[in-house]
Amino acid sequence: MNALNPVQPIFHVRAVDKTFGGRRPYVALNDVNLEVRGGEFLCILGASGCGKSTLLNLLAGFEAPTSGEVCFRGAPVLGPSRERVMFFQDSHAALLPWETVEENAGLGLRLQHADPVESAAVVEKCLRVVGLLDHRHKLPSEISGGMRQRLQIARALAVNPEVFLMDEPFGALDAITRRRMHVALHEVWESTAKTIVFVTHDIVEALTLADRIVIMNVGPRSRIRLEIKVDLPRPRDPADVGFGRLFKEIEKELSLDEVHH
Amino acid sequence: MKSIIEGSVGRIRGVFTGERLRPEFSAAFAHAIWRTSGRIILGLLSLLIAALIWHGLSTVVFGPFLVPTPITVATTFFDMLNTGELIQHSIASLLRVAAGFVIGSAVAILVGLIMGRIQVIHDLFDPIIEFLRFLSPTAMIPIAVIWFGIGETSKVFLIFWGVFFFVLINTIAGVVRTPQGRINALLCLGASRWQVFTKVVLPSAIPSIVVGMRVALASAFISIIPAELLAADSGLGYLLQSSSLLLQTDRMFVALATVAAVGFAADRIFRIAVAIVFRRHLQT
Repeated sequence: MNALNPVQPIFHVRAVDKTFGGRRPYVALNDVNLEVRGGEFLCILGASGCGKSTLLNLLAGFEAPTSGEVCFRGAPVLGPSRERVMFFQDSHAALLPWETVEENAGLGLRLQHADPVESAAVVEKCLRVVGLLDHRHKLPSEISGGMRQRLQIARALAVNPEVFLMDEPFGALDAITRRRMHVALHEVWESTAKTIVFVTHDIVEALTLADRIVIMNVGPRSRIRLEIKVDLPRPRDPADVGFGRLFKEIEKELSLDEVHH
Repeated sequence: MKSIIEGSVGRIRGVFTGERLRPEFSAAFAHAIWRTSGRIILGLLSLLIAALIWHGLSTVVFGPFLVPTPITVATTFFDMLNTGELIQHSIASLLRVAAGFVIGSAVAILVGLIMGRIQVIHDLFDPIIEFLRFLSPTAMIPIAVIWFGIGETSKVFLIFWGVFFFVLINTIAGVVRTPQGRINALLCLGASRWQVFTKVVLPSAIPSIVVGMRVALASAFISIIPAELLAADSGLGYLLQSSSLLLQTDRMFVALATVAAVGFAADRIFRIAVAIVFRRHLQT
């Protein structure tokens, strides 16, 4: 259970540069250093184009760093793995539209050729956790956007990964649904003690969810500019004084970009 | 059938008199009836107008020898249907179309999947395809005769030629357009390369492949006539050609109409079959 000790880092990002090639190379990340501790809820916050999704793709193993290293549990990340499941904002692309809710939730288990009877039990449990059990026979196109994101959570829970990597997963949802998703995700996080790395450009979202927030510069040559520990009691209340103080602090920090660019 | 008609007549009467339907239903219902039956009425009207214009062209403008009247063509059509001649030619053509379409589609899908997934192979073969696809099946007839003789093989080859490129290009496009997010989602759930291919790439390409196959099916019917013009002893193309030599314009019209009708029917059957089999893959 050492993995769940928040002091123990499970990700090490050391001196990472990421340059996208082509005739006019684009330096997306420049000298990024980051540690992610086991069991923590980390938000990567920044404006569009700050390279936060690139950083998440490096953690997932979809991209390799140009220089520097990304390590998971002490070993370099060489490719995607089901220990580190990624969530996508575009649920239509991320789910299989031709499979039912139930089939989508069991996808990871089927890929491992898991025992169908056991899988069915796991899938049922995971769908119940995210409140989709009544919709198990529907297709993704027949449920709402919020439900599709919960289905992505159920699908990930079913393979029991160590880390959830979430790339603005609720960015396309309306404000009310998004708040509900925050509650649902928070419950999942509390009950499973997963490590979550959550990318967002929404300060309130970051403050609602995170133990720790890292703020990135606008690109090119993005780096982590500031790290903020969020010591507010949970569940977070946007009307709280401490919440407001941190909000102002972060907003001021983000607005510095506008001066420079 | 009779009871359905009577039923709908009853319902329509209900709409107009308000006897059997609540008033708030009747307006929407009348609209729905007009939407379906109205289109059928307009469709029939269109055919009727076409027949009248055709009759006018036949009797007044060109004369019945060059353009036989619709009635003559209809009579000839039913005569040929009764003797079994038309069915026999249609089946001969359909078998060639089916063989060329199935082989052409199968090979094109296979090659397209490989080219769409493996960049080196794509870059190696793409220039050849971009070059060859401008040659119509008709252009290939003389060389097909030398390569395959005048038997069935050369006819099937020409249909194959007319089918292959449409399906191939659409298959490649479908594979390439697979959302990267969907592939990544599977990879981080622990999928192997082969699983990514079978579970994501292939199903994601189905809508595009189906579009290619529909265009290719029309192309197959377009190609069958030239393929059979040359040295065939059966088929609708042969019927057309042999009737032309005997100046039997009414039989030529029957042949042309039959190709169009059979092609239309084949397309409809294909669409319905595909919509049923790939119901989940074709939803937007």
